[in-house]
Amino acid sequence: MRPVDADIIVVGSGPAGAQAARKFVDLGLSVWTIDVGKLDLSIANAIPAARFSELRQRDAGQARYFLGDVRETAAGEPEISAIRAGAQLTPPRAYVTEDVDRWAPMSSDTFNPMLSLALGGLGAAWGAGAFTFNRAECERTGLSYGQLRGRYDEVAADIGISGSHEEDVSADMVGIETIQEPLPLDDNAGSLLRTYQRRRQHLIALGFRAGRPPIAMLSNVLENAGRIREANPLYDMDFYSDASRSVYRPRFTIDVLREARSYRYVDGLLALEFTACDEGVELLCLELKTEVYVRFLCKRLILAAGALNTARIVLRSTRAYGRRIPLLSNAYRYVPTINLDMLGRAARDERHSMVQLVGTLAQGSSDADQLFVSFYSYRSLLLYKLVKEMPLPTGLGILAARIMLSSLTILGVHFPEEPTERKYLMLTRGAAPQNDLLNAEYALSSSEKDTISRGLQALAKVMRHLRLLRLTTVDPGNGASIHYAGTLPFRSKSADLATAPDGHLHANRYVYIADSAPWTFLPAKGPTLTIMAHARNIAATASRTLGIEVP
Amino acid sequence: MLARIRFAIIQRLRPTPREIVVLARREVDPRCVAEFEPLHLGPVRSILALVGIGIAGAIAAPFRLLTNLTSPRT
Repeated sequence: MRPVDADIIVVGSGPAGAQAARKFVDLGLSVWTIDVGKLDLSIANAIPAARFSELRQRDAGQARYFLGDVRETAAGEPEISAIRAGAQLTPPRAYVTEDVDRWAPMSSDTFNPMLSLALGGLGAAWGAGAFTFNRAECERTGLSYGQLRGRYDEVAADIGISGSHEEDVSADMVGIETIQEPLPLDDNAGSLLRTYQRRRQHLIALGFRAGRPPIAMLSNVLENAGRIREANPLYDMDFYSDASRSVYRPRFTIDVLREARSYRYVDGLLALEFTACDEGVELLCLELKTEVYVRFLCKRLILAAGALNTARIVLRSTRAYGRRIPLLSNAYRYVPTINLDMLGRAARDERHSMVQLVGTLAQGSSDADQLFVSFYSYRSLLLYKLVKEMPLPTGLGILAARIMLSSLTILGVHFPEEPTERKYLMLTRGAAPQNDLLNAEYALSSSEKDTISRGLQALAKVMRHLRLLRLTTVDPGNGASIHYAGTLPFRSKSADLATAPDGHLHANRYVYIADSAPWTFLPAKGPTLTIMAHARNIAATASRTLGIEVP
Repeated sequence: MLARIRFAIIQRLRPTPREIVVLARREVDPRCVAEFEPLHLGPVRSILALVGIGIAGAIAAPFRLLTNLTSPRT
């Protein structure tokens, strides 16, 4: 028997990987995290600690973090790098998707997901909405509501969540006991919440409830294993900088873990495939600098690379090339609106940039069927992005944007997602394992399209009650929700390319799936907090199989 | 079909990439910051101003469509 490198190897350092590793280390096991681990804070670190408005007036170097590079397109036209990316991927966060085309290649005409090989994974650009699933959502997803409850509190203690138990939405999404007090609302959201409260009975009769969200952003100092994170300074720079470490990022958990003797973070490695062996599991990786293959041994392997990349590793390991596996990704629309109660009025400068309010709109008989709405105020993403969308000369466009700015409210609308045969992934073999291509096909059925259409119609009524004037509805395309799941679904009976109810892969009882790959349903509300709680639960289950007593 | 035509027209009326780059560079120049500050005109004047902008944009649209026919769009 060869000695194992670690009791546990965790693949990936995103929300799932970081929380699983933390749980294993807390339980006394030796843990390695294997990760590509892209990280570039050079632009973020160059941002002075000051409010958005002060930086705009004084900092001569602001183009570097607000715009990024200007490059030429194939047509010879200039293009700002920040303009192609979503709101999350501002120039300081561009590293989050760096090298994905090379090391995690995908091909699809119908599905355009965001993947990450960064330290912290997609969590490095997370919007920080920290919602617990309700009982119906857990049941449809295949998760144990009872087991998750305690894990949510463990995660909250690690990452810090602010919010309130007193909102109309709290019973549905704040299943955490200890949270910090809510952050102050900006003036636009405050006005919207007052309108909601005035028309609350009508809106609840329509199935709509709203309130301040639970959010992984601190309103007070949080100490975690001797490390201090500060309350959000309300600089409105959260899309660009983690300067106060107020918004949680998974690398903060990795930083804490690095101080433990039983933990090792190994970056620069692409996990390729696993095989069973006498000692447990052998993991084959590619060292990216040298392009040399290396192998590691562990007793239990925890895959937490995200639903798409975890599926890639499993498909390759089981030689399931050409086999179709399911794919879940919430349909997403965003709806720019004007809050008529704020039009033409001044707004306070102090604010944070993340989601200000959230709402749920009942759609069917089950609490799992509701659609989920996030309300954002617009400012720190700059006006040129708005003007670009307006069918007006730039002079008139900029004038319109300046008039609308304090009242501009962007609704992000997520719909729940079920698996169908028309949404699937498939791996095609490449010249070398790292060249395997993940193909995706994603088409909504007519019944799903109807559901989205009916949901948007119902939301239009809600907007009228909230005195929100809709400007347009934008479909950013399949995969734009950045929520992915369902690729290796839970099955109680042994099946290929499926996960057992306790989280181990049916094909190998020493390999556990800690991310959202096994979920059989994707609720409309943001899944990141549940991914983290689920990962801790998987870590507890896998630890028990090694004889560890888990409270 | 109608939706496609509508989208194509709107796309032609949007600023060109070159115009957006010029605008964005100006927006992040501290000397020009006042040109991008929010305007607080009060609710009534704001609505009137937006209606006025819409009318001006509509009047200019046919001329801009003709002159923009060959310029690239993002």
